Amino acid sequence: MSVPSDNELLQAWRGGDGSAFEELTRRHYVSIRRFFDLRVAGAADDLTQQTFLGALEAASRFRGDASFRTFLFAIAHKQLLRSLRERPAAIERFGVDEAPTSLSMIAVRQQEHQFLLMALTQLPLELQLVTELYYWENLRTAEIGEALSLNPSTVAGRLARARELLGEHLTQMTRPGPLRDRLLGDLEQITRALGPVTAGANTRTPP
Amino acid sequence: MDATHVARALGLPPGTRIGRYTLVRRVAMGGMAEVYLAQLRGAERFAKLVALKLILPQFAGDPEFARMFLDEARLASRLQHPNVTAVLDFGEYQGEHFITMEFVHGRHLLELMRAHRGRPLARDVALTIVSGVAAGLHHMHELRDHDGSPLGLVHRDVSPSNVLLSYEGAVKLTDFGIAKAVEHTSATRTGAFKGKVGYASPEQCRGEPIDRRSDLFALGILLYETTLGARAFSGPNEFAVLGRVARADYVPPSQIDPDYPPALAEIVAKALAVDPADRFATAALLADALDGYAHAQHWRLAPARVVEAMTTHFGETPPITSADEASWLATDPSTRVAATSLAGASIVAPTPAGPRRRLAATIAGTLALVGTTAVAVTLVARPSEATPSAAPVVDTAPAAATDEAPPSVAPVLVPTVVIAAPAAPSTAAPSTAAPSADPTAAPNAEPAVDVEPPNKGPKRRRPTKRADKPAAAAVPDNLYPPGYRP
Ligand SMILES: Nc1ncnc2c1ncn2[C@@H]1O[C@H](COP(=O)(O)OP(=O)(O)OP(=O)(O)O)[C@@H](O)[C@H]1O
Ligand SMILES: [Mg+2]
Repeated sequence: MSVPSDNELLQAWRGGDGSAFEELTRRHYVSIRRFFDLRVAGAADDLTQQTFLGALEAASRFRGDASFRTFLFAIAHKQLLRSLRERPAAIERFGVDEAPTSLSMIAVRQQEHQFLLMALTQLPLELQLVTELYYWENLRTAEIGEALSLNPSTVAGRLARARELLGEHLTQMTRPGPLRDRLLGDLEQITRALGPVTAGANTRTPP
Repeated sequence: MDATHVARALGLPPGTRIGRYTLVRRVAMGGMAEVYLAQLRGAERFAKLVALKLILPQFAGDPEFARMFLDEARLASRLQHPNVTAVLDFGEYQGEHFITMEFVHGRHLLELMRAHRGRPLARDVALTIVSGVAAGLHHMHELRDHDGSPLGLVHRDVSPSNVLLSYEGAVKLTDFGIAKAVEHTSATRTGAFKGKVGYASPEQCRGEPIDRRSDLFALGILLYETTLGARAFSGPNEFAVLGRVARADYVPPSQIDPDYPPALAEIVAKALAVDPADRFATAALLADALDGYAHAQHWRLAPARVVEAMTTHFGETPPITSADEASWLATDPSTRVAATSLAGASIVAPTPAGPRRRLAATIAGTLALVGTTAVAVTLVARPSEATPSAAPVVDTAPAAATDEAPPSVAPVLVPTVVIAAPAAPSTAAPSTAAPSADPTAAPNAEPAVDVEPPNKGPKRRRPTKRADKPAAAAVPDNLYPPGYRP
C-alpha cells in the first residue's frame, strides 16, 4: 500500500477521519518547528501549535491548488511576522526579555555547516526565508511565492541576492584556505546538505 | 528533566569530607563543576572557609581533561592579584578532581545585571567593575614562567557569571584556566571556539588562533553590557549570535541610550573592533582609558559604590553560614557522627565517587537518546540558564476525531501537537527515591555507629548527639534518584 499524499489525507480528514490530520501534523512538524526555532526560539512551541491549529481551521477552505506544505508555510509566515512585530528589537535586556537560544554549536558538527549557519543567520529575514524554503524544504520558486505572497520573479531575485550575500559573509568570516574554498565553491550543495542537519536539531523527530 | 536537574539532585551532602575539607553546602552548579562552601580544618581548631570546586563526574572520567585541569590549576595558583580569585589547593578525591579557592562571599555580575532589570548599572559602578576585571586580566596576561618567558595565557571565558562581586565591594575574575582546559575535553571539542557564544571574539568565531586581545574584546562586551543593561550580541540561535560577533555587529550604544557619552562609546568601539590590531593592546590600557574617563567625570572608582549597588539590589549582607551551620562547624570533627541533622538537611557520610559516576554515565546515555540538544544546553547554554524548549514529542494518543470547526477543534489538535518534555526517565521521582525498604541502602559509611537506635545513648567514643532516625529515612526524597545506593 502506498503512502497517502497530503491531499489524500486532507480528503480523508474532510470525510471524518480525525487521525488523518494528526498524520499531516506529524509529517510536517519538523519543518514548521524549525521555521520558528531558528528565529523565535522561545516562542517556537507556541507558534508551531498555532500554525497547525490555524491550518486545521482553514483546511476546509483549502482548495488544493497549492500544495499543503505551501499552505502551511503561508500560515507559519504570518504567525512569524506577527510574533516578530510583537517582539521587535535586536536588543535583549538583562533580566527583562532574555530568551533562550536554539540550535547550539554542539548540534552542528561540521565546520562548514557551522560557518554557513553563521552567515545565513546574518541575512535579512526575507532572504533567509527564501533560502531555507528553497534549499531545505524543496519548495519551487512559485510555491515560495505563494507561501510568502511574492511573485516568482521576486523569489528568484532574492535567491540570487541571498547567494551573493552569503558569499560575502563567508569571505568575511573565514580565513583564506581550503575551508573557505569549499564553502564558496560548493555553496549550493552545502546549503542543501545543511537542511537535514538543522531539521530537528532543537526537536526530536516525532515517532 | 534535563542533565542539570538530574545533576543538581546529586550534589554531595553537607558533612562530606573531601580530603582535608568538609563540605558545608553547595553554592552553585556550573556546566562542568559544582562549587561548594567548604571548611578546611587544621590542627588546634584551625579552620578556614574556602570555595571548593569539584569537577563533575562526567568530566572527571576523561584523563586528558583531568591533566589539563591540573596543568591549569597549577598556573592559576600562581596568580596573585586583588581582582583574581586566589586558587589555594588542588586535589583528587576518589578519582574526582577539585580545586579550592578563596571563598568570595557575594554575587556574580550577571546576578547584579539581572537585578537591574534591563537598566544599566550606575556608570561609576560599571566602570569600577570593568576596570577591576581588566586589572585582574592584565595580571594573568602578563604571567611569566619561572624562567621569565611570557606564558601567553588567555582567559577565554570573560563573562558576567565569571566576575564575582563580594558584598564588601571586591571585584574578582574567576574560572581561570578551566576555560582553557575545557578545550581538550571531547564533550566540547567540536566547533570553532569554546566559551560562551555571546562573549566570544570575532577571531574565535573564525577559528583563528587567539591571544590576549580576544579577552580584550570580551572586556568591551562587559563594558557595553554593564553600561547599557542590554546584551551586546544576542540572537535566536547560537549561530546568529556567533555571526554577529564575527562581524562585531552590535547596536551602537547611542541607539540604546541617546545620552550615552561619546567618550565612553569610543572606548567601547575600540574594545569591540573586529580586527584585534585595532583594539586596546593590553587590558591595562583599557583600564587606563576607563580611569581617565572616570577622572574627567570627577568619579572615584572605589569599592564603596559597588557595596551600595549590592545592598540596594540584594539587601543586607547575609551571614556566610547559617546559625546551624556555624554551630555545626564549631564542633570538633573527630567527635561528630556521620549522620546528624543540620539545618533541616541530613548529613551523610562521604559519598563514594563510584555510584555518582555510574549514574552520570546513565544520564549521559539517556540524553543521547533524547537528542543532542539537552546535552548542548548544559555545556554551552548562555548564562541566562534558560533551558531551550523541551524537545517536543507528538502525542500519539488517539484523539477523539471530529471534523467540526474552531470551538471544538482545539481539544482535538492540542493533544496532537502537545509539546511535551523529553521522554527522559523520571529519574528524580520521589516515590522511588526513598530507599527505606532496603536496610542496606542507608547512605552511611560508618554503619556500626549510625544504625544504632538513637535512644541507646551516646557511645564513649562518640559523645555527640546523633540522628534521631536512621539516616536512610532522613534523606530528603529528592536528594537521590531511584536506583542510587550511596
Ligand atoms: N571562589 C568562589 N567563591 C564563591 N562562589 C564561587 C566561587 N567560584 C565560583 N563560585 C560560584 O559558583 C558559580 C559557578 O562557578 P563556575 O565558574 O565553576 O561555573 P561555570 O560552569 O564556569 O559557570 P559559568 O559558565 O556560568 O561561568 C559562580 O557563578 C559563582 O556563583
Ligand atoms: Mg564560571
